[in-house]
Amino acid sequence: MRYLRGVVLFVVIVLVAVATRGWAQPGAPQRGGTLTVALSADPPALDIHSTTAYLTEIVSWHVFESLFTYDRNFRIIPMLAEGYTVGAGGREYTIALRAGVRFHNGQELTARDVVASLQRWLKLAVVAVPFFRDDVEAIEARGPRTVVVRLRQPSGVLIAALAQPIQLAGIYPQAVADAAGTQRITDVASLIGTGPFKFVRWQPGQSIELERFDGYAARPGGADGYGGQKVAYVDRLRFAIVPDVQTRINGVITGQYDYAESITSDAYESLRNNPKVRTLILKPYGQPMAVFNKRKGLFADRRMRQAFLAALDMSKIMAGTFGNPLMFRVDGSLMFRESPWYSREGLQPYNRRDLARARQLMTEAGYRGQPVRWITSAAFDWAYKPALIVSQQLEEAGFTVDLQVLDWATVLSRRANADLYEVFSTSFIFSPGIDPPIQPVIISPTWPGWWTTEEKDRLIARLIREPDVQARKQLWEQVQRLYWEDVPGIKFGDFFNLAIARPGVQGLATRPDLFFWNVWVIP
Amino acid sequence: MQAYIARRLVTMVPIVVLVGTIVFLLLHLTPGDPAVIMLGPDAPADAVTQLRHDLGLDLPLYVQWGRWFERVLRGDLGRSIFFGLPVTTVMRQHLVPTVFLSLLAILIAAGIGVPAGILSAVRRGSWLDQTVTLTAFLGVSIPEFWLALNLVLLFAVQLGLLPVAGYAPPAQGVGRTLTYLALPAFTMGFVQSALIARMTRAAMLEVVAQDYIRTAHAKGLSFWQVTLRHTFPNALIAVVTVVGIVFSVMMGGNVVAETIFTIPGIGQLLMSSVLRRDYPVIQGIVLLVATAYVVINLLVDVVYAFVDPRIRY
Repeated sequence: MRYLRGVVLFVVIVLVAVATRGWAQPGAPQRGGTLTVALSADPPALDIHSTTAYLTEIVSWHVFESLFTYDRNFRIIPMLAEGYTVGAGGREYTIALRAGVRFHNGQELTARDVVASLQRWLKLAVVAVPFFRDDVEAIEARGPRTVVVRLRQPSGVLIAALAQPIQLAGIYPQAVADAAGTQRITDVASLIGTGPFKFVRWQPGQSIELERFDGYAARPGGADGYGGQKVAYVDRLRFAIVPDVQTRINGVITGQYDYAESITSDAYESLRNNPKVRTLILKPYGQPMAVFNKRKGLFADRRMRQAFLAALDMSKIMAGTFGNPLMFRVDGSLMFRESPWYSREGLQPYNRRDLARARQLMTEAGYRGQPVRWITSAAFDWAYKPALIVSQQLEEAGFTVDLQVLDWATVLSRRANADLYEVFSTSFIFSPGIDPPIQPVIISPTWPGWWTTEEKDRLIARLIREPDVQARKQLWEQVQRLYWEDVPGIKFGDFFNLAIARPGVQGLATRPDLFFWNVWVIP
Repeated sequence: MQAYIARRLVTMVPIVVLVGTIVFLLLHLTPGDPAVIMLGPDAPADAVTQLRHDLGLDLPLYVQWGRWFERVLRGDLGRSIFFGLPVTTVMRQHLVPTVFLSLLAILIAAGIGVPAGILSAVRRGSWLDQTVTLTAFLGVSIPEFWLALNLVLLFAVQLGLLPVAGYAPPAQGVGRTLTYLALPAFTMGFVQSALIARMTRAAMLEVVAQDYIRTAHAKGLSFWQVTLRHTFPNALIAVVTVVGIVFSVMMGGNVVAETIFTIPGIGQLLMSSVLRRDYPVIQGIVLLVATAYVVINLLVDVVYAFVDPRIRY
């Protein structure tokens, strides 16, 4: 009997021990510590209104918040806003703000701050805003927590533009926004937002340091995509600038950094089996593309562009460029599979290699072996490697390719001059849920390559004005069909980005726009 | 002596002006547009045009050159396009790590190179000489990045003795600064020590063949007395010259070591400024490096006078 009691006692102790261990297991968030993230380069600025640079976005959106953002399915949800209503036949947006939100300087967020910030952002933003800037009649504060945006014509993209992470429509205190005007703010002390972290210091070439904002007013109800409840678990968030990829990898292995982005995909196999790191595939990430010069030269003729497309085997291009099948997929939809805008409409010409058809189109267009000048850069795998593989496939079809490998800044400057090239490399980096008409890469007639067709311009004009979601999706599908018929450029496929983290870093999301709220560290 | 130094300082001016002008022209002939890089590649053309105008990049080249030069004369190197800060401020922030790194690296380079050169000269043809020659040969041939990555693998990743990369200013403790600088300084020092060893050896061999060395041996001085009091001081001119050259190269910023080890120095700043087409910063760095070369060379010439009593200016 005594013996049995001993056994029971032992079992109880073991059960209690197992159960208590469960409470402190990695699943339960912990507060405290420093999270060090290794970035591949300095952001050009921390003032999030001032640039479309991705590095600025992923650092500064810990500090600044926008009125709207995207949920886990890339649909728009309110962030600093409570909600909005549309009146006056789609020409008046009334946006209600959340109560009790405070800036890092202790002031409460009011409609006046929002008005001043949006007015500044409207002047500076280059991606979405040109489509409706001239339509904005007024932005006004109606009481302390209501903002009214009055438009001259209805807009289908206003709320999407207010939600997009790139060149975020972040809210600054009125005094800061007014004092800066269109000048870039460089003084870290003036970069005051409402986010879960605040800036401490920026040492260019070295690091950017942030710390938890204790007065942060989180939304209730759990995290959701880029929005919902945000919690700063770590005391300090430090972005270290580490240009060399091998140094970023070694730094995570030794624990000097907790997280590193832009890891070359060929390192995946060796890192996957290393117990000191966790690999994270950020998905979706980007699309490598070749864009034609449609203003001058050989590819002003649509048949030549179609011949180029008919010469390509996308599976080989993507596999040759990215190697590991986990790091890419072959898909011709211009919007990613994860986006509500995804569609398979009009994809028939994509990845249908047909050399006979290519040659026939080249003959019809009167091609006689003139060199195809393709400007690309070895700075990025997604630019250089596809160019090499595609050149070979093109030569098999009878094209003569003059591949010009330049540094990236030179590509950016040359592609603006129609006399200098036939094709250039680029990549379209994923921005969540982003409204298709605000993708200048594909759409804008002034963007290098110059896609100017009446039908496209007509469809885009309607997309910009159309507020109904279903009608917009159908319009977009017509644009996509037109894209693969007219071939202004060629998307080869989708690729993903590799990141690594120390195993003790918990709560990480694997979406392309990095964020470190809701992330905690176990030492 | 003072007159000589003053004369040399005056001749410095045309050199620096010439270097500055050539770099200015080269930079502006290189394609690439800082405005596009700042606004992001997707920026519409009119926004780029506006920013180019705000930055004065749409002016004729000679006007831009004149403006830049006039400011340089007033000690104003302009503002960094990328950081929006004065170039002098940006350079000052990046200069300190490079100075510490270069001082440490030159100490290592001379500390290895000079004794190795002396030993290999006085034991000419021995296994020691051959080892030094072979090591020096390796040092000259090994790519710096390869050595750097292997040192990191060994000392940081495998043994965990030193940090992988980074920099801590001396204000946070000199010991901490040294742990961060140890690997990059050794990488740079080892590679450069090869050159110093070769030059020291050659200079020593030349002196060893002189009559007065034979005389010194004949009058009964010990081997090391002859070597250290008669041979080496006479070979010192060549050694000082090569150490000076190596040091000016290092002060110009070491792009490879600073990039791999993430030292926020002049080399890394130069590299990233070129990629960003941050013209004012690139021009500022080149002016700084040109000035450093001229000043260090002047210092080397001054040191000659102390090393060799026959040299009088």
